[in-house]
Amino acid sequence: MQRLVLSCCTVASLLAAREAAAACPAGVPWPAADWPEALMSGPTVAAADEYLFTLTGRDEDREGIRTDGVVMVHRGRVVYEHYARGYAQHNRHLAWSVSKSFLNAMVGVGVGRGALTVDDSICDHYDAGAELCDVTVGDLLDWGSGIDWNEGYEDEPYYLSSVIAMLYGIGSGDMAAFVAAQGLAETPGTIYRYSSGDTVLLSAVLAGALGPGLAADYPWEFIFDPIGMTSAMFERDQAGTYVGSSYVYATPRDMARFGYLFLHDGCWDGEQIVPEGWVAASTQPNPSFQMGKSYEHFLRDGDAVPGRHWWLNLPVPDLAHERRWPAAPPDTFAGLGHWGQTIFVVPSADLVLVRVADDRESGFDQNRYLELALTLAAEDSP
Amino acid sequence: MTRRALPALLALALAACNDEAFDNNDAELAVRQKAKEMCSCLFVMELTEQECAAWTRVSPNVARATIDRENKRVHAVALGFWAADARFDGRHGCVHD
Repeated sequence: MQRLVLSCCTVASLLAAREAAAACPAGVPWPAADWPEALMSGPTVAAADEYLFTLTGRDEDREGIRTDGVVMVHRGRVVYEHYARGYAQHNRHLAWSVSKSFLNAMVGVGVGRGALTVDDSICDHYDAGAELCDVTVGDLLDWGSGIDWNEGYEDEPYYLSSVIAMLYGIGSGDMAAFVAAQGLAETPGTIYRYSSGDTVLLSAVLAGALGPGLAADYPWEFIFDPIGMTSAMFERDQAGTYVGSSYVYATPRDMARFGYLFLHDGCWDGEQIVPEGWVAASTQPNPSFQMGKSYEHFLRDGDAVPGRHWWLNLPVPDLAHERRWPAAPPDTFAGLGHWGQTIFVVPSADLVLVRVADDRESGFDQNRYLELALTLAAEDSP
Repeated sequence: MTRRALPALLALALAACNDEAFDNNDAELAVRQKAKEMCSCLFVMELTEQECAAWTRVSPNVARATIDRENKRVHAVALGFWAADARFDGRHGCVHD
């Protein structure tokens, strides 16, 4: 019953958002072949340069903050852009888990086209085995499938990590099949557990829903081409499934286009690319997180609140805690990836921030970064 | 063989015998990681070999890559026994062979 109530709430929020959102807004500046520039200078730019791009220690020791590139888009213009460590404007960068937010958008387009719904069983579209047929598309979007999974990286023995086994080990040939073979550890939809496996399975489910005519090209048809992400590449496993957990590549300027799409509720140059209401529904605390009250590790690790393959700056009503990025407004949301990849979207400041990096340590202060960016945005305001 | 390499090789030998959890050992994972990520770094991110060697370095750093630029392929080996290949596939980036 609780699950049904939450599902109804999700539908209600989608409908409410749909009512609130008019057609795609007029008067928004859209980048054509490239972004217009209004590059800033002055003490705040110097402070941003210093914070973001000062290396500590020897580069080969991979210590401290190691920013490869930053693009800030305010009011539709690039106001700050800087690259380092061998990167330039033309280099694609690995998005790591920011790729998950791209897959969210692609699923949204698939839902908008009627290929699938968030309430569908994944077995409607992918042969996951009978045990997983209670898992819905929405559960995967929530990282709430209940599939047994250990999302460990370099900080624990590799052989214990589900994600490393999936990307490089026994699961790498057919990643979705590997994920499905892990079986359930929890009842689907009752608990949130961050999982690259859920995302890869979601990618296979989406491909199944779209059918062979679209499965190979949907990233470009749905998202990359309509918003002009000409640099985008998206890697697949040997079975042909897009590795939606990890392997989108694009230039930071093109990643900013994606952030700008979500800044404008899925609209691009007058066209509704992602369905109305999808952005709003994706940027609320996800139902599995709320229902499972999966707060222990959330509080311990200082994580952002999980939306549907996006991360939120909202407070959790049950908890008296500080928002993840107190310097930023509560409507801020982000795609977050390993080693410091981020796309921040701040609707109330008309701001999109892209940072690509190679942070092998955890010292980068996202709140400080947002504080600097918001100061720049305030200085840029008319 | 340096004194620093010995502990890493011992750890690897132990890991190679470990069949807990997932049936992979560190050398096998390292070589597959090296082939795939080196390919992506060179042909997708378009960085230099030196930069890509740094980007793909993991611990234990036992995998070595051979690059075929003409065919956009990377072959990686570790400890003379484990090997893996990856190839570039246009806008679909790199994939293990």
